[in-house]
Amino acid sequence: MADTRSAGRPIGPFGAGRAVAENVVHQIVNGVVRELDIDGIVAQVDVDALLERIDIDAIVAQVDIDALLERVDVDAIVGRIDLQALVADLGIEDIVRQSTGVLASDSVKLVRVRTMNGDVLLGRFVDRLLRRPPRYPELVPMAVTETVA
Amino acid sequence: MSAVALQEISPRHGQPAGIVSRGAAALVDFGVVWLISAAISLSVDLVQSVLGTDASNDLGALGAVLAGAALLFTYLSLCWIVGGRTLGQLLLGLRVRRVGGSRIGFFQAVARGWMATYLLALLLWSVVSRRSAAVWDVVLRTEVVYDWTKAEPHPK
Repeated sequence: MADTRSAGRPIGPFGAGRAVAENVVHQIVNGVVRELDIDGIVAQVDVDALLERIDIDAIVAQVDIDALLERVDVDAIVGRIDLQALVADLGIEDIVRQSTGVLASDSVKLVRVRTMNGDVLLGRFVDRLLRRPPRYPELVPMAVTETVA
Repeated sequence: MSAVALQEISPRHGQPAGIVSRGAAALVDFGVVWLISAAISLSVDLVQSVLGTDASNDLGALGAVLAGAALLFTYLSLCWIVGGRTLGQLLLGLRVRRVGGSRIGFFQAVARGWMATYLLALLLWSVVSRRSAAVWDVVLRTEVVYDWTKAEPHPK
């Protein structure tokens, strides 16, 4: 029955010699590698020239984008997005509601105030012509009341 | 989050409105009545085309003016009866009421609508009136005031 090592490799009649040879080779290789200046070798490589020789366009042209996209389950990705939470985080509803409300309110208020000022100016002008006290008193500060909807 | 709405009150709340505001409101009301008359005319044309009747029964210029005036009279009267303000007055923040602040009555609204339609030039009296009253306001004891609120005036 053949003798075996722990690695399970059979040791034949020349097994001992082979092991010695392998050990010698390993030591030689390790020594060579130790002595090699890897950084120096890499520094000698002209990476730019190497990249120039690579035809990126040709590589990209070989990629089947359609097939790649078909493998992507967009529906599953979109389904994982909680749009309601996203909208709530951004506060878009509040922004839209506030901006439209303010715009409409401001436009109407602008028309009302301008026509009212027109009334006052014309009224005071006519009252001055007729030499009588002005019909419109001095403006009082605008009152604002809050109502909770 | 509770929505807090700011309800502004006109800085001249309750004071009589002048001819600029009232004229602007009248222009809006003319536009509304024009839209209503256009819708009615379109509907009549549509019905006539469906029924296949002859559409040669045009009112003519005078008839169109009379029909428009009748429509304006109806519109003004109904608006003042229902809410005390027309759509134009709602936009401009005006309200028609009796002198003293109570709500305008039915006959006042109708008489006011008739005079404001067929005697529109009498609005010019508001330029010189001490309380910016048109002739129909003097006759009917009504007034047009600044009122930006949505609340009803005092019950009649």
